[in-house]
Amino acid sequence: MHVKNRYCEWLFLLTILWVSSLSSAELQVYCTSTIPVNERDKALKADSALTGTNITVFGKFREFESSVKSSKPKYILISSSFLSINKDYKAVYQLELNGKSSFKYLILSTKPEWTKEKMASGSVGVVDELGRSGTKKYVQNNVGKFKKVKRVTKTDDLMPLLVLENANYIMIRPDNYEILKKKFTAKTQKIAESKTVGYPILCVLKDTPQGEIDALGKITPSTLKALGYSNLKKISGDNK
Amino acid sequence: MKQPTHLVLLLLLMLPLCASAEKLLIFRQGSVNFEEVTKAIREEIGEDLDIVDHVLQKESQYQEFHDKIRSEKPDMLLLLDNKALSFAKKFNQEKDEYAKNLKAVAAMALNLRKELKGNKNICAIEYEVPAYTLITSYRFIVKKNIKNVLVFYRGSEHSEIIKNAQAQLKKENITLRAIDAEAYGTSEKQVNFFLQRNMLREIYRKDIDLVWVISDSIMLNNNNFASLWVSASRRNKVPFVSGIQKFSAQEMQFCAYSASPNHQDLGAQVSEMIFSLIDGEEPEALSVEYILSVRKTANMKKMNNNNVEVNKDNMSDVKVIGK
Repeated sequence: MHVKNRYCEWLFLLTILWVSSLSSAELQVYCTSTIPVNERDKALKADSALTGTNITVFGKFREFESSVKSSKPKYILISSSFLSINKDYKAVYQLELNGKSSFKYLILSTKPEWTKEKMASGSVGVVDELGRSGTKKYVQNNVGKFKKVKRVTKTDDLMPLLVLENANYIMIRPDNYEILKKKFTAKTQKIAESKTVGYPILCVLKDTPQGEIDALGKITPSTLKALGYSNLKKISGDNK
Repeated sequence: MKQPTHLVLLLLLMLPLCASAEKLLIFRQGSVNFEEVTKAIREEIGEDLDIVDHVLQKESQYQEFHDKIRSEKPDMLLLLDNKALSFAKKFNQEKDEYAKNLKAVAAMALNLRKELKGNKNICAIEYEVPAYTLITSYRFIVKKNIKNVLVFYRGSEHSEIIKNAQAQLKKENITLRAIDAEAYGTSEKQVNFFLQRNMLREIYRKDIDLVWVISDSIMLNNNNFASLWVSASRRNKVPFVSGIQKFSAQEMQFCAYSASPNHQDLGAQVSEMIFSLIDGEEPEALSVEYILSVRKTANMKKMNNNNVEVNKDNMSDVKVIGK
């Protein structure tokens, strides 16, 4: 009887530890999007696959970056380029849009004189996804050299940046540009495309148990739709 | 052999001195919006720069500004209002090389394009929300297309703003019909008289979809604000829009929509400009940028009074008041 009680106590303690470890799981999100932060936050919090997970969707990369540094959340949903500046995480799921897992940024201008040849002497506007020096390197590696890289905090700010001539070019995801075209009708010209880059990825801390990773894979299609995507694809070990 | 080792050690000891952060001295007002912008700037660049924050009071004189710079010896200034800007322009005229060459970023001040024409030391971000941002963001939330916008302006003050706004809106197939309220003269009395005689007639033109209200203390003053502007906005169905949030407030019932500065994002935009100066760009080349990010407010009571139908799907980032 005494042994049975001891066993029950241990079981109880283990259950508490397991539950507390579950409740401390945290998902922090930063992806450039035309969908407001509060809408994405609401959709993620309503998803049963994420019950018990503390969710924070950030509107600014700087806030996300400093939060990741200080709190080291278990899970992050972030642009695919982020792992180039943070080695604590591994990518476990790839977000897809209309069956595609990657895209090419568009480089647009509104004035005919800002051609591809003049990119090195012009400024390009881009949504901040990697901080000051990271963004500059990322643009150079994936598109080419510009005289100046101007970071903005929101996708919505890119078109005014271009039309008001705060920048000579903008770098924008094609799907985001399609959405912005509903707001702004100013004519733009496509100057160039970036190299192929991946859509955002769901990452976990490297020591995360497989059971938790599998549970994350159950995020529903309706949540993905609310985030602006259509599918969540498991990343095989080789691609991590 | 010993001497080179000592030299290396000495150089190593001096490294922290050479690598010390540059100092930014902020001059600003003490009110909430200025606090918000300063906080955002601290968050953006606080790790890279040594920041000293100084609040100028209403009664602050140039000497206070001058003494603070001389004691702090900053590498650059951030000027957050017109008073700080005018003091900085004066400081740049002092005789020593440091004063002549001290660079600055200005923001949260009015008429910066005009104030900084020909200035080589100060670059800036305009505080006034451009008509392009205001009108395209309004167009996105309403069901009716916007083709013709009316604005009253003062030629002596706003000619460049109007010229730029016309060119920018043209790209969106929107025509800005701009009426110079100084047609009878430049005094407040003459401007007021012109507006009284012409405002309603111009608004009642059949093709006007929207009235853009420029915040200007001569055109909008204590004597005519309620009797002329607010009254005109209530006597017809054409919505008024503005870059001033309080104009769309429920208690005012004046503008149907406003797009006003987003102070947090303005802090990020200012920080980006400060980094450009640190990277060695010249203020003259950076010039005066438009403010990008705005807070949108729709006064639904005014929208309803103006028979404006809104597209609710497009209002997720709009603060709705007066439902």
